[in-house]
Amino acid sequence: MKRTFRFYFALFFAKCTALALKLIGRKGTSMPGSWAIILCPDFLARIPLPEQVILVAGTNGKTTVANLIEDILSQNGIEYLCNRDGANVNTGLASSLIADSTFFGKPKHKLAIFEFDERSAPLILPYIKPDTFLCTNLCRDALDRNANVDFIVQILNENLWDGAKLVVNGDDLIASHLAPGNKRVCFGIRELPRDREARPNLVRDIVACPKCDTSLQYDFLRYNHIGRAHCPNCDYGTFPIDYDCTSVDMDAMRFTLRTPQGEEVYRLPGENITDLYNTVTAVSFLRDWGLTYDQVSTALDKAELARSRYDVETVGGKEIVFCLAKGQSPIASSRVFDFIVQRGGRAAVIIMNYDMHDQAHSSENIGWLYEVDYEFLTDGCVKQLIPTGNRCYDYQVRALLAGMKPARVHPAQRPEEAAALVDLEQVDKVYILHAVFTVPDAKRAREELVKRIEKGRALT
Amino acid sequence: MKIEVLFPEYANLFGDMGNLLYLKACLPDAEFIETAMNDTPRFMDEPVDLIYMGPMSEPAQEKVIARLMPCKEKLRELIEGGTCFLFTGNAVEVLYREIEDGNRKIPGLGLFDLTAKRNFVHRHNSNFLGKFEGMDIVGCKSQFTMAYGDNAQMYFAKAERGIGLNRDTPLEGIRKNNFIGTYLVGPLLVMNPPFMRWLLTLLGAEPSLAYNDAMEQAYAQRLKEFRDPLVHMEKEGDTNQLKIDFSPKAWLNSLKSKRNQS
Repeated sequence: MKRTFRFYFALFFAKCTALALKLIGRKGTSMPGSWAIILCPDFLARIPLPEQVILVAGTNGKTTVANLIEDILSQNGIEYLCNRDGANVNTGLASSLIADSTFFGKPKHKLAIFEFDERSAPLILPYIKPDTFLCTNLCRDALDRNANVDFIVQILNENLWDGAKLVVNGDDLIASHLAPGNKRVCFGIRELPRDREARPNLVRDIVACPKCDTSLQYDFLRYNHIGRAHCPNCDYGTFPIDYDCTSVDMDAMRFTLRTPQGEEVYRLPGENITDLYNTVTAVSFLRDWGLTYDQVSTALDKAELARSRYDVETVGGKEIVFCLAKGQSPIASSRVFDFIVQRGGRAAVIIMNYDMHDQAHSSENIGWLYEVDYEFLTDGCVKQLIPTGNRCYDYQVRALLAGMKPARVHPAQRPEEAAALVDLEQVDKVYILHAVFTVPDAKRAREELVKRIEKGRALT
Repeated sequence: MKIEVLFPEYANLFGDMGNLLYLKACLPDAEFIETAMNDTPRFMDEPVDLIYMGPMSEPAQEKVIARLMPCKEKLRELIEGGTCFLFTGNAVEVLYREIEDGNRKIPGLGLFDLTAKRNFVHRHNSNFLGKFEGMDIVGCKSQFTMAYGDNAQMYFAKAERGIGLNRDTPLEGIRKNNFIGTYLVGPLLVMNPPFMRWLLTLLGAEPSLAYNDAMEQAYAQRLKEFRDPLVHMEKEGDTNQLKIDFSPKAWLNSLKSKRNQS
């Protein structure tokens, strides 16, 4: 699209904003892009793009996957532009493009990897036509904003151009059937021994065949609607898997991936099933994109998953696990609960994944709690559940309806109270589950807890 | 007691299956019948005590309309005859005259002379505080539609804060005999112990609630918040952020709030 005076003015103004923010030491990651789009609403259509654009989307895991891909590319000396420090909506992508452009807007890199918010599809995809569209999974999330998964599929299908190659999770019938006319590569994880012990989830975003409404038959169901299925009445079902994880060796922390080039073994950088999915996603994309086995494998050996999302410290023999359990995201929270129970031990779980904005100014819609598998926490290993924040009584109700014993549920209004309620005699693991924006509160709870443990040690 | 749940494989959004979880806790001996999309609804062949349907996606609404169209006269008969119904979220829209989606008009069952208008560009999210039979009703709304038509003689609750069928009316939902259709999600039965007791009485059950104290504690906390004029009742649908009010009144309220906190 032609670059007008308005575009150049918006670009110049945005660059000045970015410089001013840098001088005063503020990140303001989406502000330059916000100004550019305010001043020139079709800014994204006019700014020159790198030769190749890869979008990483999906309800859960997109940040981790994008970071992992970027780390592996960096290890191999491949330069790229990304929005790692910025927002994944239209203003964030605009800010990244502005930051990576010359004075006249020409991109400095030939490759862009953007984490992409599916809800922003109508604001981004008409302008940025990706070469590859990677989708980790699609499931219900943020009911206020994303409504339902059918809506997300609808806006993606309406806006994704037919030249985009899809790299999609074949174990997710919703994500893998996106944009039916596009070329696609599917990755997945075959049934693992641990899948046979999987706990049934409350919600599944696809139960019946979308073509004929017959109940789908699952060959195996890993969690929620993730698994492999077919319709007994028509041809709908899981696509053939191009990059298939065939086995996992948890002792050696390695997994085997069947690729079109043959069987390959890679390091697994985390113990959770979501870590496995994120790694399989990144490796499948990179192998399909053209990196060699050695390039991916060697870089993956050095890669680490983002610690801000999962961090463990041991204080006075007590393990304090700081873990992201995204608010308003039922599947993400259920995965974390499952992980807690799998790890066993004697645990206290402090839940602080409330909505910060609502906590301060409004009252959160807590409907999503009834889509989270609180039933998992009825396992004997969970000695205490400490829901925190203004909505702590609603969390208490949810836990009771899940079957938790009332004596194990201790609502707390404030982070400090939550830390004080942990019975250190009774537990050896304390999980602090936080949302993206409640990290400061969660850190306060952790600090209080550490103080208590250290004070106890000093007394003994 | 028989409770029929219509199309749970589709009508299961926004945590409203929590309504059933609570019904099961309060009515441990009741039979819950889950009717799938390809099944014949049980109410066609035998009496049921309560028919429940929860919120669903917009494409699912069209499937449900097609599935229930042959049952239209039976549904009319049951509503007139006093069978209990609870339809939450956008479930009630399938019984409207039509749903408008841009230029497209989707005919509904036509049991209520109302129209729902979809707006996929702006999602409406708000909290609700109102009265039903003298009880305080609290709930949340999260929807792409607003409904239009006259429900003055058949509304479910009257808003004190929040909105009714649309922004111009405080009259929320539909109540006709024992049919209750409401946009309130949250889930409604879990959030409203007095209403749950009323419903149990209507069903002929003992109005004693499971986990009564915890329920009342959560209800009291929410009522306190919803009655506080400083608590925002509406959020921006597209960004999930609060609407920013730059009016002098908002600044004054903010100052008052800070003073109260200190």
